[in-house]
Amino acid sequence: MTEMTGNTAIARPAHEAAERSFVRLSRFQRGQHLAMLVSFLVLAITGIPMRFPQVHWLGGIYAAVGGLPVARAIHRVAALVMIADGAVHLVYLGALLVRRRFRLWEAWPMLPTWKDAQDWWATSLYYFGIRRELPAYDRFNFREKFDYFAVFWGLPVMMISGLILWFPVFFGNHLPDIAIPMAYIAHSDEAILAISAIVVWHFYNVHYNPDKFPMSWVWITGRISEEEIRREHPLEYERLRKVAADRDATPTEADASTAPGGAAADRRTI
Amino acid sequence: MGALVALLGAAILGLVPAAPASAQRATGVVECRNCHANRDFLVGKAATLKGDSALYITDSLLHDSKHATLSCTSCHPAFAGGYPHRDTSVVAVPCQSCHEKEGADYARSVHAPDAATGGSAPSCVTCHGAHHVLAAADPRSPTYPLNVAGLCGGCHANAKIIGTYFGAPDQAQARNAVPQYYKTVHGIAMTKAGLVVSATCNDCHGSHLILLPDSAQSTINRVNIARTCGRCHAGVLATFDSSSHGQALRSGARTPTGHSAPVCIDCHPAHQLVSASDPVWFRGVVKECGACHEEEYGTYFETYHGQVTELGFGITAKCSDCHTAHAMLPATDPKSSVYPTNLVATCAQCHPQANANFVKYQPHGDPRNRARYPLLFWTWLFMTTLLVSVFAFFGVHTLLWLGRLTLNRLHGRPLNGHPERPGKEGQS
Repeated sequence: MTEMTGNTAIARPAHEAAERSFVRLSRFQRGQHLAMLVSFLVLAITGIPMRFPQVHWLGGIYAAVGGLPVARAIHRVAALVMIADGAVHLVYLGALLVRRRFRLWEAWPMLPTWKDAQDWWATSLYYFGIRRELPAYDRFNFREKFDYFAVFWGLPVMMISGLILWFPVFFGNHLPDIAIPMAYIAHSDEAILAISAIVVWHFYNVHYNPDKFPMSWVWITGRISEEEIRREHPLEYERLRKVAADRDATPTEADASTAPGGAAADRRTI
Repeated sequence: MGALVALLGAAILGLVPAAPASAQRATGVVECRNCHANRDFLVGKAATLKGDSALYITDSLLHDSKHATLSCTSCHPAFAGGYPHRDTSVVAVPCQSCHEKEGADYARSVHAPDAATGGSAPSCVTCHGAHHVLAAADPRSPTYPLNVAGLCGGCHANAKIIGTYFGAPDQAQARNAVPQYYKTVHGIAMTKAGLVVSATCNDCHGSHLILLPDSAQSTINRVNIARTCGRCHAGVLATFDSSSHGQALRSGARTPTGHSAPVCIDCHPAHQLVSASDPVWFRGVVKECGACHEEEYGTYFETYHGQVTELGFGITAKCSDCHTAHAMLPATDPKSSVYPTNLVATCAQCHPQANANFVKYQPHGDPRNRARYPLLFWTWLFMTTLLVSVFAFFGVHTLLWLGRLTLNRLHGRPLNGHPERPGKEGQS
């Protein structure tokens, strides 16, 4: 226990617990989130007046940026950023998959499992007062997975429908006649879905949640405190402790970053 | 010195009083001018100063006018007997004794009855002047195109007259007609560009036979409007006549909701006439089309085209971009811009590379209309269901969470009930 190498921080004596933190999001993951955040906001702001043209004050957004043609150009640049972000994420997932020797759930801890459904049920029971406490979540709880897949589903829908609307003649010349109106419906409704998912769901998770208010800082610092990980992600915490304990026993073992959950415990700091 | 020059000038011009000639042969200008061109002589001849002025008729006024060839007695035969004027009951003959048609038209106009009963309505001389009568083509004439709006505005922009004659609430158009005219393309063309071929009051309302629009002969009656505008916009008139609207106008056909065919002013309100590139106009004209074409109007605003138009940007297709502004015909008519074989050319105006597949696009596709647009309906239903169910999931979950947080707070428990980890160091 006194032998310390990077990620064995969790094995430190108890009195240091409060100072410890873990990397929850790597720099690269935070970069992906930041690109998503910026492009999403720009897309939402430049897109929403089109969805509600009868709300005239929203039209002021277009007036402010110099007219619809300018807003459209901005929207498309942001769209390219988001598409690139999505592509980078797919490549990243592929690389993780290779590194984890195609153990899918290890490479992609966001994948929903049966436990998520159970957790949702248990959480609901807790909300109703039937259970006394929340279930023990793993690295990503069902809410976070929901958040993630809202984007994972939404981005391709927005991208495909958006490209059809961007190049109506190219697509209209080759696709069935219904493609453009379908794309229009899909694009505008999915946009509403995405914006409300962010404002209701994601913001509730990372802003309004009294444990997080005014904001979870993970997206900037990438770090989660030991207290927080033990409270909110106890299963991951346990696993990390075990990995660290094994590591201490056999220091040549692969480092904890290969543990389930991607860049889990931080081996660079603490 | 100045007075001397003035006196000299007056003498040269023949204004210095000369003894009135004997009035025995007072049949020509020369004789009349002996008195009526003599200002000093006329002083005190009428009851008022204004009356004195009215008697003062210089040679130049007449010699310069369209009536230069007439003698005074042509219009004032009662004074043929010379001076002193014995019969002053008939000052002048009616203009229509020569200008028969104009007189007859005027007599039927809205102005005539009021003028006859001593109202403020104009008579011939109000517009044409009494002695210095000039041709409408003469830039000095009050009836010259550049001057007409000012001439009519003399009464129709006169607050007192407007208040007297057009005070009713539904006469707002009449009250504002002249100021509004100056803001229309016609008014701007006339006053700013100096374009005398632009329309002014009389081009639409007529000069002498000015009638209210409900009169069948009125130039601004709905049935006659196209002809009135077509006097200048001849090319548009020909197109309009052959369009569905022109045909319906002639046949008197009405829509099931009772609307008659639209005429020029329905889309181009005469006194709010703005350029077709103005958002105010194209938004209004789309609405105008929608007054009859209700379903198409509704579905148009479901599409990209409609929403951009709604936002006030003219960069996308509006009714007239596909259906033409004046030559609209049903899609079954081979001459129609939306006839299947013409669609590629129509769409290519904005989408240059469009092909035959592209133009199968349904610009009025209605996702609520399952029978006509089944795929659109199912897409819409899928997205709506997705939206509603995700919303329900979000909403219920978040509300329950909120409820639990509130209860926990009321009972002084940790807000989020994360499990205690027994045997762990530190608090949780």
